[in-house]
Amino acid sequence: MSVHSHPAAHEGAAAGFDPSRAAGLDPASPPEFPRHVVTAVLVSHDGARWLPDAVAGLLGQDRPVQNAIAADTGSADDSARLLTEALGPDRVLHLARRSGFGTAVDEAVRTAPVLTPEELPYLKRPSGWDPVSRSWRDEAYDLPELPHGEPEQWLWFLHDDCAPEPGALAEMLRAVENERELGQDTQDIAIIGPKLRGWYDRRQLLEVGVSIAHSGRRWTGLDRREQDQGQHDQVRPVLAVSTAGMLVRREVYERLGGFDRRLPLMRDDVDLCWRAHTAGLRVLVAPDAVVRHAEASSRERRTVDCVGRTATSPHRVDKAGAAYTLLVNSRTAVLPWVLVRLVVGTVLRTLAYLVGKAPGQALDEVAGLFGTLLRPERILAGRRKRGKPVVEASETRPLFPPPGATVRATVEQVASNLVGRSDAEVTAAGRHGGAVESGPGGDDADFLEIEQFARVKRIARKPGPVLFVVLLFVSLIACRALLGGGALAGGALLPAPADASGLWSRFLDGWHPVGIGGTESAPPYLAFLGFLSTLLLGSSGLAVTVLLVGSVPLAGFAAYFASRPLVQSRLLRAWASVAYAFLPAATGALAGGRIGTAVLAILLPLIARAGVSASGLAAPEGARGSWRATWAYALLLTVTTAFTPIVWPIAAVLGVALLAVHRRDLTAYGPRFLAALGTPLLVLAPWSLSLLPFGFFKEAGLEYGTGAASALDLLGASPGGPGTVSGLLLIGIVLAALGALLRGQRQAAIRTAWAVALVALVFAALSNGSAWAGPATLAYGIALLAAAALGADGARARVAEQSFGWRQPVAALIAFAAAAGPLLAAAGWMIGGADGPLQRRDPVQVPAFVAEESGTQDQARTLVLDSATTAEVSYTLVRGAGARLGDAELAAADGTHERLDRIVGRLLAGSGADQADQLGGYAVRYVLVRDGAPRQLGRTLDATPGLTRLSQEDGSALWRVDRQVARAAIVPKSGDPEPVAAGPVELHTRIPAGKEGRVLRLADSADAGWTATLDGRTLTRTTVDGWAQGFELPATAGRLDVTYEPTAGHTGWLWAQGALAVVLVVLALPGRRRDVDDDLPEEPVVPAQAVAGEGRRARRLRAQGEASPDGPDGSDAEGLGAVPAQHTPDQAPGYDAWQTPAPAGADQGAYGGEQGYQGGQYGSYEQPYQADPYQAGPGGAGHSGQYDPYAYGGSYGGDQPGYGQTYDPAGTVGSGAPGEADPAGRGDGGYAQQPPPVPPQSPPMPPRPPRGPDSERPDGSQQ
Amino acid sequence: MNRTTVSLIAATAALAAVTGFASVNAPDGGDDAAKTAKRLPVERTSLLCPEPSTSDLAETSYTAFTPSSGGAVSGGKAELLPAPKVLTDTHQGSKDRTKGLKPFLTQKAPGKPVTGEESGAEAPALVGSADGALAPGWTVQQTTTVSAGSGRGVQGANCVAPDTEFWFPGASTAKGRSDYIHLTNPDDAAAVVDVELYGRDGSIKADVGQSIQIQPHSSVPVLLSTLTGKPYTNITMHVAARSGRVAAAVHSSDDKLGGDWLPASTDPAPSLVLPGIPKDATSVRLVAFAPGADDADLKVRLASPTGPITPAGNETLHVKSGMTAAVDLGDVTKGEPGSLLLTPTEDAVPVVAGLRVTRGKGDKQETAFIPATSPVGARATVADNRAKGSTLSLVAPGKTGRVKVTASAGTEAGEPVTKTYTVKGGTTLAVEPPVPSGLKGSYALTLETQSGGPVHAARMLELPENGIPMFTVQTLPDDRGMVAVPEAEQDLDVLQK
Repeated sequence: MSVHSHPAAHEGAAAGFDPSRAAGLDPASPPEFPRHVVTAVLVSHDGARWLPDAVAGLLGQDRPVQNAIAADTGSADDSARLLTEALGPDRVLHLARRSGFGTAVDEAVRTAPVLTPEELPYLKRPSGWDPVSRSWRDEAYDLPELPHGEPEQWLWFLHDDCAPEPGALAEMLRAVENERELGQDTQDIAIIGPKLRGWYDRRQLLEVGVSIAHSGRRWTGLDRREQDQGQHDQVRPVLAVSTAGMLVRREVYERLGGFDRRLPLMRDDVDLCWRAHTAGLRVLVAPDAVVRHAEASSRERRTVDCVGRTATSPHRVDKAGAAYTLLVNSRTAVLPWVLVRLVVGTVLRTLAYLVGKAPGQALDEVAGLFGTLLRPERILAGRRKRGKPVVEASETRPLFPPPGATVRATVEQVASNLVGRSDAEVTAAGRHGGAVESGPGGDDADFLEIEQFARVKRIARKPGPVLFVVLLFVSLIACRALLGGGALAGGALLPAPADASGLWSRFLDGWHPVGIGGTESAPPYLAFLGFLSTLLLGSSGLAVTVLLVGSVPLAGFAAYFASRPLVQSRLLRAWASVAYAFLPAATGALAGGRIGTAVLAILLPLIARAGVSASGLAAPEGARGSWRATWAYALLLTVTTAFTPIVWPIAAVLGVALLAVHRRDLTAYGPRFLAALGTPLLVLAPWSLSLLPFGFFKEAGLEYGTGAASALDLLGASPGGPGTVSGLLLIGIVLAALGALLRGQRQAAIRTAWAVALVALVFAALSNGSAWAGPATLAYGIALLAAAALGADGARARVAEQSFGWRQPVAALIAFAAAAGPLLAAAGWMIGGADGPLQRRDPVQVPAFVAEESGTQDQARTLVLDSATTAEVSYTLVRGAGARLGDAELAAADGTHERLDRIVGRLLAGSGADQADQLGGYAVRYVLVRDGAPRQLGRTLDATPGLTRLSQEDGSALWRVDRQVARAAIVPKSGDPEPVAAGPVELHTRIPAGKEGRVLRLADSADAGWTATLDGRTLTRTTVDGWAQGFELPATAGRLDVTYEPTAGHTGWLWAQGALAVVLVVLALPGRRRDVDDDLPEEPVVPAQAVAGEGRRARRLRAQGEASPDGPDGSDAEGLGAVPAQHTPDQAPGYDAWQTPAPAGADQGAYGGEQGYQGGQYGSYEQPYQADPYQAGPGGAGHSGQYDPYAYGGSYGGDQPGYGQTYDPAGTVGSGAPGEADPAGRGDGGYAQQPPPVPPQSPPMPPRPPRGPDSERPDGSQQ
Repeated sequence: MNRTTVSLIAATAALAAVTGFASVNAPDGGDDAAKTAKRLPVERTSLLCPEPSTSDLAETSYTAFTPSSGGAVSGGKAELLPAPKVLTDTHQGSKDRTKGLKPFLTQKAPGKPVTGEESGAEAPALVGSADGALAPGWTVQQTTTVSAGSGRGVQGANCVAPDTEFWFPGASTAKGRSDYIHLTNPDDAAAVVDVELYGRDGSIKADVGQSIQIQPHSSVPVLLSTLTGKPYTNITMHVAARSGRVAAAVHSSDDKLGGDWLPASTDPAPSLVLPGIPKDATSVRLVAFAPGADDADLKVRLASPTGPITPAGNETLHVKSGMTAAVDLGDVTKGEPGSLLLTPTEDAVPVVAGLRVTRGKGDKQETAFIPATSPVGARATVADNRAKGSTLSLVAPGKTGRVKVTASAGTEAGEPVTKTYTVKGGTTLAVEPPVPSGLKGSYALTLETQSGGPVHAARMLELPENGIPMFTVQTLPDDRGMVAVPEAEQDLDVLQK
């Protein structure tokens, strides 16, 4: 296209426009389809960039227009001058800058004269005198007065950014004539439109007629980036055609009153055509007529300033136009439905835009809709003006998209956004003809495969799923005892509550009925578990099972997925993933019921990958870590901090180290550091603040066991405890990681891994002193594995090339140890079973009848006792059937209740006092002594007055407190308390009258949040027995209501926390793909770069290049996931086609083509177009074959979808002045500076143009 | 040296350093074993004194005493209330029965014993409770003198705290013996008690002994011979409260040999000490029982004043599981005071044991029972010591121990006196206990272990009458005035077992 965008090419040719001269015709001699008189109306607005092509297209028509008139709406650039030069000053109108398209057209039409046979003599019967032969021709007299019939006046609307192909007009007129030949009435053909193709990507279909859905969506019926292969090439009626190239009968246009004034730019075409339909006319599309359209306004390549006072977003104009068009044109019967669809669709789309981090578009959606809806008088006026349609609704129905089509399209779009955005194959397949699947190689041969097994085979060939399945299988065997009925419990894990609401209420409620009750903030991991349970249809048990039983396969899968940038070898990645999944910390977490470490095991590989992306260590020189990766890192860190807080200090230390590395760029990395580490503290507050400064060693669940590892265990990444193997078994991995340090290449990555490993090991040693060291050893293990994998990458070749000596046997030994260790651990795990203290069992922790009784209105509790020695005794005050997940932290946060401690101690000492009575004050009805407690304990309880031994089963012993026990009781001044029916927290009942001075006593600790009312009157709060909540009761009877109201701060903070979490997720999610990135201007060839979001194949190719012996050595600018910042296109099989023409020759060819164009006539100019542009024509070999953006994309973009999108913001997000936003000076005439395409073995490409910190790539950093 | 080698060395050094740090920081895990429970004074003490005698000639004196602890607790009261004998199973309102009862004996302050007298056969059982400052170490001695008839002699009983399980080795249903088990229920709810008897050949079927109901605040005496139907010379009786708690004591009276209270043996243990065999004991019978599933082989030794000796012919005792083993040791003491030490020969099998000691000859014999006893511990008290006739036997079965003996103020007059004794390991020390200066009435002895190994103690009270060496022996186990209060801590881990 460089040829066409060269302005100089047009100036000579277009100067001094004269339609007759341009057509090379005698005005007197008839053109093709002579009865049609076509007046072209070209509207320009800041379109100098495209205008030369547009004018050339207009003037280069095979069937020239009889008249042309241009309207320039106050262009700030060269547009007016270009038009004047091309058409002559008298054919150019100059309008105000804020004139809309409709206004401009109206003005132009009003100005343009209706050409009559007087002006166009060929329309008349030719005179009998032939001046050439100087003779009379008799046959002329036999002709009618108007030999071509009554002239039909047409208006041909053109934009400054649309270039008609030479045959466009002729084809449209031919469509009319064909109809006429078929005997149809052609007078009702009001409007004909061409097929629109992309400006830059000339095979891309933009529109073959458009329609409008009830949601306001502009419906083309085409797939995104659908390629034109003639699949839509038939003349057919459509609802509307675009104004770019629209051919409309002049009298129809005038009869309909032109474009609606309320539609200044967008959707005016749909509205006009719709009105034509309702007037009983026809609208056709003639796909043989082709117009290239840049869609400059809607693609934000120029400012839209014809609407409102300032520049407006085209999206908003489009939305407003769609709403208006629908509301004024829809039939009254469907209007309510349309209104509902519009509003609902807008809300949904606004949400989607918000999630996709496009707040501007979200605002446009809302503003566009409400800008229309809030002016109902305009709609009413519009509807009145249109009146009743003359045609039946059923006639126009086929013109609208079928029901559900928009929904399906949306689903496909979302799916492709989520899945296909980085998937090179999908886009590549799309180019090859719309096949959805083309297999890993993008190979057309795949289409020949037998379809039903193709998918299975493809999956089987992918190691990731296979690895997952194998690990899952191994896990299921190992976890055989952990499947089935009952609840997972044991070790650090308490049984999960019955459903997700139990988890949520533990997190959200202000009052936690645990022990004697408390108001402490709940641990936030409950919210995450609750969220997961909600996703799993409310089954909290399933969520816990998935996280624990599934932790090993999920960890392995995550490691495999996340290790993609690390090393190229799939075998190595699989080994590292297996070794990671079977790290002792992972199996130990499962055995010990440590759900925190299990979650960490799953997420740690993803954290590592996000962290590397955010750190910028893997980015090429000069590039920084992306903000999106930072937010993803912060999100993952937040989740894991909630489960295993120790990751936060590890991340903090590593973050400080990173800041030291990036000390030159503190302004960029300081905020990232603060965001990544501050977010967990903020989102998890106030719980997170309770961790500071030394609470980070604890983890989700019960405190179960202490540090169990020896120093050697820790060295081998084993935290000790049940379900773990000795650290010595994995010593091979440590040695392999040490050996990696000897590798010459990728030193930075290896050293980074080692730094992480050492920091994690220090934290493991620290935490081993007081707690289980699992989480830290997990981090240590993954860092070691990363280092080992980096070292093992290509190690065989390196070792082999050394002369034989001690190195080879040592390397072989280490390799064997590193490979055998995890396998042995896995085998042992599989045989021995994964259960340790963790088991499946009945979640009821007290005898069944006790659990049953505790649910009655007395809400009686059970004191559960156990002790190993007589010197220490542990107890728990149990409500209901037992403690559930999360209660351990809540109880711990509530702190010790010394009075109860003392009572229990005295009770077990047998000190003789009335402990039973005191227990009754805590609503304890039963005392349960666990099996294994000293016998003396049971003797003492037996000998305690007021306790009755009930039964003794499974070794535990149960006593009942012989006393009326209830959670709520009315305590009179003298006499026995009277129980009151109560719920677990609240209390709603009627109480009888009594004496003055009685007190309502709750066996819950006193708190200001308790409120009680008797018949609506608030009761005075008192504290009973120094701890229990009481209320002074009057003597009267009435309805008693006791509730707990959390403080406003608590509720408010929960909402804020939720909002923060949503914002964090939105920030961390991949951004929404801009819709305007399809048809892109040709870019200067850029180096392939190690962007985080690039396609996997591109990376693989690059890694190949890196790994190959003659490949460039990317030794410095890489970190963990680094790939060399160089591109060796010759490595890619997909480049073969591209390579066939020698690059240099292609280059010359391209420029030669351009020169030829410059100097050429229109004829030469047209030639490449008339010929199939994709055939290698003489001048077009370089021209179309080389510079065709599509062909180009087929080689580059096919492997690297991020490539094109990378440049998108530069062209589209910028200031709106297209030329200015062009980073490489691309633009009109900019191609002269374009660097040559990548030759094979080329030196490193110039770095990507610097971009501002805010211009986050919409796609480049996704995944 | 190139860079890779340097980095390898650096990483290895760092790994070694961190590993070294980890080995230093590793948990040693031995520190929580050192924790011991705090010892705190009890808050309330219950004591139950059985019905003293069925003889009209019985003269009973009660002496109650609480040693002064010097603790911070003050106030409180201690009183003994009569508990009527109830032979029916019908429940009568417990509240009504305790209401309006006048306390038989009330103690006002610690450190000074109080006494009360009863006579005749109608004296009721007593239920006592002490709280506040009077609770720790509260002791009540019940001494009955029956001058003639079956079971004539001195019968002394240390009122016992209610419990759920008692072992009585040494009971008998032989001809001429009439042994009663007195079961007293101090609580507001009825108690259900099983009485099981074990003879030489194992368990004796005694259906009557099952599910004996004891009404609140009442006492039930049961004649053992009604349970067996057949005479057994040596019986081990097991009293277990199925629900509630009771105090149990066996009153044994022999037509010829006099009688005494048979106190419960200490809890089954592999090694037992039966302290305080009087030097002039003419006959000593050892009765042992192994309640567990294993047979016990016991080494029998006598801790003489000079050291442990093994009685010839009775070096070991084989106790079959579930069967009562009895051996007559004769005059094993050979004129020297002693204590019997039972230790396992091989496996440590818990046993219970008791001694019947007879003094005197011909028809002037009197018996007393010495159960296996736990050591003095922190403090042990025995009340009702007279100016004459008390002998305190101290035995240290293992290491040498020092015991401080305090003679309290007299019931009427007298100043406390303190004396410290050292008991050599393996010996028995029989002394005349110190007597309060200016004593009038009776006094109490309080023993406190000062240092060294455990010391077991027994006090023999001699009240000879009509040439009959009437006597009774009370052992001095720990008074449980101070209890080990475990440190209670809320921990949800207890739910996970």
